[in-house]
Amino acid sequence: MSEYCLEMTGISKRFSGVQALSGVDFRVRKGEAHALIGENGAGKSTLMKILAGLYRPDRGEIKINARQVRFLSPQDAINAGVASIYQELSLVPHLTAVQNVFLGHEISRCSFINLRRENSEASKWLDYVSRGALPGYNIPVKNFSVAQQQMVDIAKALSYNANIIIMDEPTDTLTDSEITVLFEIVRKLKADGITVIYISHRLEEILEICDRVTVLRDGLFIAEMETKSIDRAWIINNMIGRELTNAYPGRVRSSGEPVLSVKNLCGASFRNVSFDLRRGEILGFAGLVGSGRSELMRALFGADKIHSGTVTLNGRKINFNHPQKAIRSGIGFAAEDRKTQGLFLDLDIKTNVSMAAMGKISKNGFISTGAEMELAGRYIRELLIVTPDCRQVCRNLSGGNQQKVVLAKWIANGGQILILDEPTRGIDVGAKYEIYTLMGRLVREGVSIIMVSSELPEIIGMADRAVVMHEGAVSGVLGLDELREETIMTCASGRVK
Amino acid sequence: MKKRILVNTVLGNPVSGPYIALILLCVVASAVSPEIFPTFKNISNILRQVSIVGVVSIGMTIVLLTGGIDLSVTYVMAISACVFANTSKFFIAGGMPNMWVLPALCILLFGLFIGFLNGAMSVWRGVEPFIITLGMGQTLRGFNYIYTRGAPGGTVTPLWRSIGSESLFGVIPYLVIMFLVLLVIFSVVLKKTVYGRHLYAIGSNREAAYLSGIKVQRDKIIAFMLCGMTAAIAGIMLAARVRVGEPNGSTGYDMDAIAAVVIGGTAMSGGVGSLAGTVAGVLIMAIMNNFLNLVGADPNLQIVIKGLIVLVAVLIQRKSK
Repeated sequence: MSEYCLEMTGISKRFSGVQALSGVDFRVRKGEAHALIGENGAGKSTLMKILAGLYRPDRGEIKINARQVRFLSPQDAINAGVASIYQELSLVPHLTAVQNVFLGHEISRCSFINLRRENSEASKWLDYVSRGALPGYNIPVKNFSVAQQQMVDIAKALSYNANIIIMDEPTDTLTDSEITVLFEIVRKLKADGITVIYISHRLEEILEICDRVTVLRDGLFIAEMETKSIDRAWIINNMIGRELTNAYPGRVRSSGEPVLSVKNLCGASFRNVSFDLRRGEILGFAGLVGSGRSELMRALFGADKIHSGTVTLNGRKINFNHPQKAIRSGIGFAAEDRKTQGLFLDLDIKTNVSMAAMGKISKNGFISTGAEMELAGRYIRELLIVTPDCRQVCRNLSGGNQQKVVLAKWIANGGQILILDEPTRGIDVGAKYEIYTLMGRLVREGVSIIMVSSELPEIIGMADRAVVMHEGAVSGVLGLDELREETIMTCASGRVK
Repeated sequence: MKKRILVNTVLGNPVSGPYIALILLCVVASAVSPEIFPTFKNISNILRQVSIVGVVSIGMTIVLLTGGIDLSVTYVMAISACVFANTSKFFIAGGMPNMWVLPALCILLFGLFIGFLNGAMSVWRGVEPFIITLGMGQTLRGFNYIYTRGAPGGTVTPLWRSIGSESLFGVIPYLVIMFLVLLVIFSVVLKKTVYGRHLYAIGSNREAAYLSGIKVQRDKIIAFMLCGMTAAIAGIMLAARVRVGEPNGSTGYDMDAIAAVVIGGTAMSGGVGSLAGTVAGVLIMAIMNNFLNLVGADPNLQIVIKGLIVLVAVLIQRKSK
């Protein structure tokens, strides 16, 4: 019998033009907690989705307990004893804990559910995981806290007789005391010979709970180590360790007086945030996914509520309760997910481009088609949007061109402050460079840009200064000379600078 | 080469499908029934039938474009028709046969108000408009039965009597003219105004619309109000046509309007569609009915075919999306 309960060797996976994984090896011993770490886009989730049967690898093989397996569906993975617990828990809110545990593999005879057996079986697993921490097993799980729901999810995994459990960012939504409880569960699972694959951005947690780590970077296997013999610095160096190529246009700009000042701003997912945005600068917002950056931007734009604190725009205190007011004050906001928040996919380019600039192409509520065509045509040329004409429906455009349409909408609006949330997510290198060039041109014209980005090289390559957020609070404001991956990562993982 | 571009533009246009179907239907109907179908009398009869459901369909198109639906139009029509007929009778009895403007205005306001309630409840409370307008419709239906005691009553003023049955220069029925006027007005609203543009945006992507500074809630409520208003107008037109307020006279108009809008290429999910398509949808339904009558088909078969047309139209749309 091999010393590994899971061996993935030479795994490669390619998505329409992007090599997500190339020849990755991943080996896990029985009964250990094994951390899988890497930056956003390093290939962690792709690898785990392959293991969970959601994707099929292009190349490579998977062995479980030394037996080769091929997962064609999530069901195959579950049958082989691999269960996943995702950030968004896979529970049905209105069903009880017991019903959730057996959801999809109900104990039944002739399709009638055997309630008594389900109750006793589920109680066994729920007892094991929660040790009395759940208020009851026959209450809808929507009444549970996130941590309690997570317990039900783990019990569900165990009820499938899983011996490998993948936990994807399990502590992201937990409080400190809840994390302690989760760690106890993980230790207990380990003691009972169940393997945990642990994905987290929180380095302290990994060092505390995991036995070994595997590092991925840019879809490649980088290193595998015992946690005993490594430290934070080792992890960060191995995660980042890439040479910066010349992917960014030169920086020629000088920033001026503050145009937007935020003081002690509190909202649902952020607290006590203060920063200044100066005229003609690119202010980067770095941090981990879920650190509250997007929520902060939505609130600044008037799309979400602000609980307390002040926002000053050009020396005037403002309080937006609808995006329309922010837009009228000259703020533009290209949201994180262009397909669900930015674009009207079924409408054509000209309509999308002019949507926030109605004042420029209409009179007394009537749209001038000529003015609209001219406006759209101008930005199609300026932003090099590749399309036969401005009547093309946005659904048919490539990701890069769609993103340019979103940017064109806000440039056409003529705002002096642009908030760009992940402006280059999921688009190819060429289009990225064009968008960076465009951003450079805008700041030279006096526009101020807030750029939220989860890609450190982008922050370092483009931003003049960077605000780093951690769990809803600002953990550091870094000047140009401090913009290095190590300093940003340190702040992003919670070390206040 | 140029021909091919023309063909492609025609086929690429989303309203082409319904219009091609409409033309084919006319050709087949004329071939099968050359003595009756293509006659002036028959066509103007079809158009007169079309005009009332067409007006309801205008409002329905607007609501569907935002991703909503309005199931209360039938009963807004019914109350409007009964109130209009009863007040007209009252004023005629009082020796004021031309006193119709005030009741008509009140009925329009009533339609707007019901639309406001529909829109406000579904938008502010976040309830599916399907269920809100269903409940509203039943409430109105009940009220109307209480008000009319379930029996037809009232009459219409001489002016509306002629609007309901006569034609301009003996050629175009007045009801058709009313429909055309409303059609032109609302086509301009949808295609040429900022408000119309916002309706498409809301239906296409609500969140993106909100983040583009569009007052999503207000605009949706206005859409429901417009739909309520067109239903009220259709109610008056119905009263004019049958010269009486008939509480059950508008039965089926809600489903016919929704079917016509969908056949015309408007997506139930919103954001895609046009009034031009809706007109084709209304005509297809009416001509199919007329055609089946002419060939003496079983009336129940007509219902079956109506249902099948809707199914085919929706399935074709899904495929091409």
